Amino acid sequence: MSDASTPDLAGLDDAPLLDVADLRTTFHTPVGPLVAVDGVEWSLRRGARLGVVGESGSGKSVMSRSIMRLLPKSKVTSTGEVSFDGVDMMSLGRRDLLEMWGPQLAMVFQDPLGSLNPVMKIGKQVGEGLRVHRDLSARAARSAALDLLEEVGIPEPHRRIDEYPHQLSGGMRQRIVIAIALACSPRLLIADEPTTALDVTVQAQILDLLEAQRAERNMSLVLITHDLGIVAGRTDEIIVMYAGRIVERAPTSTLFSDMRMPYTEALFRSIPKVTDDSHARLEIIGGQPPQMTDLPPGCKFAPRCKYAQDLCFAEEPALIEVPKAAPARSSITDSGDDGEPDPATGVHLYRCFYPVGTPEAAEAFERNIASGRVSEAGVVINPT
Amino acid sequence: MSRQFGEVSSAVGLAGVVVTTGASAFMLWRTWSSFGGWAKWLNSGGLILLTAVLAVWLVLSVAKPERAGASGVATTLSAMVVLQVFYVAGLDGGIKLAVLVASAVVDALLFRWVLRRYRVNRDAERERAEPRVREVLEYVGINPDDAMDRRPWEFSGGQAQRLSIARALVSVPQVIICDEPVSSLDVSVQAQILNLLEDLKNLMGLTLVFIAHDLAVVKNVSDRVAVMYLGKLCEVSEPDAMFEEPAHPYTELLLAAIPQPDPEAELGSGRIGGELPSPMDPPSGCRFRTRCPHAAQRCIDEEPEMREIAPGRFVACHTPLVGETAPVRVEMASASGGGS
Repeated sequence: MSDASTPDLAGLDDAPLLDVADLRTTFHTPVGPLVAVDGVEWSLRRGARLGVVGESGSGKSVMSRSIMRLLPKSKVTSTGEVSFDGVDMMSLGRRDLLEMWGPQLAMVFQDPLGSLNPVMKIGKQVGEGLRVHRDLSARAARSAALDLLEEVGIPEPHRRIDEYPHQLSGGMRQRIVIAIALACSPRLLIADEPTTALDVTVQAQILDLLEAQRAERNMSLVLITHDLGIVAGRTDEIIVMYAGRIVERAPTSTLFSDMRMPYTEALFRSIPKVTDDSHARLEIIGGQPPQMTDLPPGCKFAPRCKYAQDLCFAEEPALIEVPKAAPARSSITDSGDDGEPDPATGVHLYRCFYPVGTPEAAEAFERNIASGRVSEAGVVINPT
Repeated sequence: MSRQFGEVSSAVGLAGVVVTTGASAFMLWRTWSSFGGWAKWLNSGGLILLTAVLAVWLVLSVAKPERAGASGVATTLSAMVVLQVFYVAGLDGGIKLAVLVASAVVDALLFRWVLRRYRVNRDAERERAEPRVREVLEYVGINPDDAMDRRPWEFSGGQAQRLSIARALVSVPQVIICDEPVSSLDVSVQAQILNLLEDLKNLMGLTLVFIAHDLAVVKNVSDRVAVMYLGKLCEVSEPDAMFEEPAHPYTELLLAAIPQPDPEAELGSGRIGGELPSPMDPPSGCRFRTRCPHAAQRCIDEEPEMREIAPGRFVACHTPLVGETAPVRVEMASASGGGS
């Protein structure tokens, strides 16, 4: 880790900080193997921000835990390559992992009360990582913890440092969890649904805090959420996951202007928007995510997809790249000047035979309405 | 309907219980009267008291078998049988044995009868409820054939929320209060639940009180929105007008905090800073003033009153973003003269 101290600027460093290739995590359950993450592949540059979006059970949390190597050893197997700044995470032993957690990779979990120790004062919890990794004395760790509390915006840190988690509000607890994660200046922070348990106003504060800290420390950030609204303005690239697979991957502005995967479109349309009229009908995704122990052949989203044809049920589409020459909509060229996507991460991949916005998809949709499989409003009538 | 059936038969049951418990009590009293020493208190009425308590309990459990349950009745009966065993220990003649056998037979018959009645009652209730339960499950989009015999943990979060709604609907209420019904759900499931509530509202003529922190969700379901802060109402209005032009500064900041699924949308324009003050010791004057970007001296001195700024729009703010500034009250005018 000799280069860890050399100042790097985002974008100047071509080598990715984190490289995930063919990651596959299987849970061995009583009813058979459950492949929670199936062949996921992506990379993240230093200082870059990645959003991971999907419903509950899409494998996004299992993916992040597989990368962190936080999953239990028994009845779970992870294969594939996870390379963090050249270090092969998959081959590390327990002792090496303890070295990595904190100064290299850190994580913020969804439920702040669950991830804090209820019987330990928060100052001690924040300073604990520093004492372990930096060999600080108790006194030095305490003063560092005070600085951290101030940085994450805790009012009256001198008083709060000697309080217990239950004495703080939900938003403050999440700030503490972030302070713990930031304590050893990690190079990658994985935030797994950091705001799902919080109010909208507090959510906005926490997301602002994460972004400010990321920019200040030139950290890479993986932001996992089920809400496309959260990642829209705060990431450089977005991965959409379904049934343990990446179904679409694109730079953020491209994803919103030119989404290809019907699942992404459906997720986007199901969000209530303040600009809609009151009582506007929301477009829903019918049915349930698939049973992970008994996946259908073909495209995993096909049973709930309004464009799905016979081909989709028979054969699983591969993750392919959008041809650069022919963008489906012209709006992408207009928005190219401000949020310039980096060429290294600029690929737009999707997994569909009838991508959204193409004439084939429109035809498929018409056919589905004619056959009665899909209602006029675009909802699959009897998803199985 | 079943109540009548229940009352008639429980009167018969009652008579039976009185007869057997009476017989048991008499026999027990005779037995214990031949004992000395420690059983003296029983002799002087304790035993009768004990039997009477058991008898009352038995009568109650026969009258309301669905409450006591078959096992409660069984326990009582076996307690009485134990008392009769004590009686056998003090047997001194053949006639008494005949009485004991007779009373035990009556007890056994009674026991069978109570059990059967309990089962009939339970099954009848299930049967009567079933069509209604099926109907309600279908309303909320759950297949009753699949779901009827499953346990709550076997359902996903969205399905469980549907089941909660079904439970609220089953007694055909006029008003349903939904307290954050979608805040723990995925966006896709959230949309399903919101559409479902809208459909049920139209279908059954329901009135919904919808409590949520996400204003986009609130706008989608409401005809009228009330914004609350620290126990007080800030603004009450129709949603379209409120979202077009929020009148209270708190509403404006709430709106700005909603994540927009649009990468071009401006971030960080107007955030609520700081923490919610303690409700034990709320700020003087306007409760929102400690976090309000427009707070002035008047907001510290005087609590704003709810007033109508436009037809159907009410706001509790001295200087709302829409409409006129609140008129200064006469008695407050001298105190807040310095404020703008």
